[in-house]
Amino acid sequence: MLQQPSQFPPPKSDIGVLVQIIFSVAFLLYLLYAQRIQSITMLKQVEGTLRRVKALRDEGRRVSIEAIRELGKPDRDPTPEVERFLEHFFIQPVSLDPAGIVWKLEQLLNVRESKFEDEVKAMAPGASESELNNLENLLEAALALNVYYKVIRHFYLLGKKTMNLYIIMQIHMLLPLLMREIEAYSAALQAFREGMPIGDGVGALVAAKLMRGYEKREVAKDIVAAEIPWEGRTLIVLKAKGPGGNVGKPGDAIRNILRERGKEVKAIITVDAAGKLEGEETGSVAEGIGAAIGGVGVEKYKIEETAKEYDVPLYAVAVKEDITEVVAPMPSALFDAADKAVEAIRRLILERTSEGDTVIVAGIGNTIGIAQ
Amino acid sequence: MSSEGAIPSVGFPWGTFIAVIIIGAFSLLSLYLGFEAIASGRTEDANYYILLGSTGFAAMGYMIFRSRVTTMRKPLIPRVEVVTTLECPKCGFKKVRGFKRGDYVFKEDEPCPNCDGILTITRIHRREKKRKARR
Repeated sequence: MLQQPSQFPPPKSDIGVLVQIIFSVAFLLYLLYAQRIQSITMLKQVEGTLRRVKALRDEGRRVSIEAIRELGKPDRDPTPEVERFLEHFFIQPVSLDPAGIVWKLEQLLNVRESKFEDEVKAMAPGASESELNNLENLLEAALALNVYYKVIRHFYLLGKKTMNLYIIMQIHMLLPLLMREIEAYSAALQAFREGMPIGDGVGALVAAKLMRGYEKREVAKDIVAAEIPWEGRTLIVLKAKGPGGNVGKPGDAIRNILRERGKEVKAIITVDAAGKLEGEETGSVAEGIGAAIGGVGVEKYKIEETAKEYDVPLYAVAVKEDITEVVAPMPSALFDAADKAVEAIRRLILERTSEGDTVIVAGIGNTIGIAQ
Repeated sequence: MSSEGAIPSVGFPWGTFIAVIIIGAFSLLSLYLGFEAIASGRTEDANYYILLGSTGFAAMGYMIFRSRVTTMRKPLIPRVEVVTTLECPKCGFKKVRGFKRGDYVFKEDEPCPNCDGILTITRIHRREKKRKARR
């Protein structure tokens, strides 16, 4: 005998009717308020992340103040100065007429750098030159955390105020990527406070390995160079002056060397840490063409301009690393990669130059914790 | 650092708690009705109520898990362990110790215990966590 198909849910009992009503109301509510529910859910997730970012920002501030007290031995509380520093901003030059913008940007960056140096010196009068550089790096990491916090908070509060799904969505979609950068900066606090080598320093480490034991001279602001005879060639190896946290001005250094040596120089090889794509291994070494150097682009521009002026080919060696490793204490794989990069540079020199040639090898990156 | 009060402080998630209580009560009621229906031989009703009750408990579990994730106290900045490797250029003696402030690569640090050389710092890197082997 065929059974009568039952209704689902069975409305026979009172409780069945009640459940039917609850389901119908829930369905209607979802139909009318789905977007609002989604907005509230996303806002809640942004709020949770924002709390974490705030805690990281506060930690950055606390670590900075503690380090200044410890290393700088100031005679007064540095908290107000640190708070003022963390609110510092930078206005990019106008780009409506882009000709000459690089030099305007350089001038602004130089002013910023010298102002930061003076402020840190005033905050920490008892710190050594290396410690001052490390403190400056530490404060810049804390400043970056403060900026991230304020931007995320801005979108969160704006989204809450307007309840506009698309405003909330913008920050919600970017959060995973922003969190990677924020976590990288928070890892930097330990490295900059203690003066440990960081992932970005792998280029400087490669140069340090090449120039070790040779006489050094300062060829530009915070850049040292050594002349190394190798396989009938002359290698001019340069890096930022360590072991304090420093990147120097490699663009100026390469320009000064080319002015000195002119047509003797047959190749410029830059070696730097480069962001890896997901799936690539930390510490893998790749070779390419061009100037391997990050930052806002001023130093890269100078290197490219000078190379073009003297018609010198630009070769690049990149050591791959994750974004979270750039300013965090250097992983072991990057230390091992420095030896592989040295081998790559040597092979490149043998392949692309002849005996009697001069080659510039520039180790780019922050040299914190790495001497020469 | 103005307008610090703009972000709600971390507190007990009362909203989630009340929702969990309500869903829990409904789920228990559904399960009770389900078992009652089994006892009285109404299989179709029993299936329906047990399904409803189980779904309610699953939703409760999910809500508790979500609220636990956001309120759980995690170490903010996980401090990584950094090690310094020192080597004697004369006899090759090698020593690994924890990083100390003031250490830097190529620093001539301390006398070699084996010969009259000076131990030089050759590596400073973070100690990698051992990954669990996947079966």
